[in-house]
Amino acid sequence: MSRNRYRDRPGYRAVIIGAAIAVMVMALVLACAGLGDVADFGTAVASQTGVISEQQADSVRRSARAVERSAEDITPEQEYYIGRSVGAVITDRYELYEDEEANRYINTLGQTLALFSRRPETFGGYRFQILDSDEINAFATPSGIVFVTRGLLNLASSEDGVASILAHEIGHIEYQHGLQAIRTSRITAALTSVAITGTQFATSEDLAELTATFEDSIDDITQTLINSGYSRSAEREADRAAVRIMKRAGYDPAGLIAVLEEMDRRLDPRGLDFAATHPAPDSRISDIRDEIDGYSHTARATDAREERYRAALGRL
Amino acid sequence: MRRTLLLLPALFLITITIVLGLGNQRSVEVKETPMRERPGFLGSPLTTLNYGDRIEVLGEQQGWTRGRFAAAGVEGWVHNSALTTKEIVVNPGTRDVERSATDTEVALAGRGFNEEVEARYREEQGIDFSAIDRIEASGVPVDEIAAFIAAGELNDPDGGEQ
Repeated sequence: MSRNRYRDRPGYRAVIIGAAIAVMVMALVLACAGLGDVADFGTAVASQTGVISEQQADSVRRSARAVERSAEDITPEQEYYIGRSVGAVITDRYELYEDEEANRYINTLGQTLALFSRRPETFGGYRFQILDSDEINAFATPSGIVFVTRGLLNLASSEDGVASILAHEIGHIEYQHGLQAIRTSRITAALTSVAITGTQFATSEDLAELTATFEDSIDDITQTLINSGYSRSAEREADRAAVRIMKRAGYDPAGLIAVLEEMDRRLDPRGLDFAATHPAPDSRISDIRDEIDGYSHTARATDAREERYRAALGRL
Repeated sequence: MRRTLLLLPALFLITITIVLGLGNQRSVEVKETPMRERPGFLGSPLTTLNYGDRIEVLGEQQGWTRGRFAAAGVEGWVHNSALTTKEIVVNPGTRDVERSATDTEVALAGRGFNEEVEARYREEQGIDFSAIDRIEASGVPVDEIAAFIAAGELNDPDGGEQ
């Protein structure tokens, strides 16, 4: 009754429409204020190129330092260039295993697994390459190139086992463990340098300085990959990623345990390969068991997998 | 009257969402990525987006963003791992350099560790990059990956969280 009384009043509709318009205008104004930055982008893009003055450089240097810089601030593009050079250091030290069929298999398997990771796309994409070495080793370079030795692949006896090795390496790339090996001081130096010489290298000294920082960063990563190894927690993270990726893809996560058990049997504790850079296999196994506890794998098409695994890697 | 008035805050929120949505942009942060017909890796590509391309967000679903690529007038799906909320300036000017120094939401393409730095590093170290170039060229086409998944009876990567 009372509602009807209001509705019958002349001007009621006008009041409601007026209020609605006022609310929409208010929302519009507020939303556009938030868009201010976006508007600025457009005008800024149109600004002229050139090298900034010394005074501007100083102010940039100060403000760049004021902003917290870490591995996350390295753009995927820069991560890609870091990864290429880390990869080049590895191909400089190791012989590539030149068997097209074997490499094609590893590459297809690895790129398939990457689709099931949390980071299916990187700047240049994932690539997998076998190294012609008996050493038990693997190297995941930032942004996606993965190297595995013949020695490590030989620890697996099935496609699921090989998948577990590649999935672990994808885990390192997903979590950017390589980039985290770079000392923070270098990241700050590199990103500050980008800020100053952003439009172009002012002098050849600028390029030389940034290249020196680049070289140090590559050294940090290759030292970690080849000599010191990642932290135990980083390895656990990569193992967990491997289990997750394998479950999602439909591989048996227990394949990772089988590989680690074989590694435990064959690894020389005094060796300079995985023995030096990874936690002991048995300690990793118990962590992985916790991870796959309760997961029941339904084995499927093992014949097809077995057949292509043997065809591709049988000669290894 | 009271009930009608209650609708006003809702109207306010809806308007804000629509207007902000219009300005909701993402940049492609990988060298190139397909814009697909449906949210899935095995879906057919409508067009290829390049580093720094901007899309307007129309929606999101399980790791995929549906967007409009105005430059080509195409609407489709792009995987979130290829996108960033940052603005990537492809040919930065002085003002962009200044902005990027203080604003972490602005990134400069082709700056910092780039081709030029790699060339200098390569020269100084005397390291051969031809193997890396060859490995990089060994991408596997999506139809081969689809065939590999089917033959091995693996899960569909586009089937959502397993």
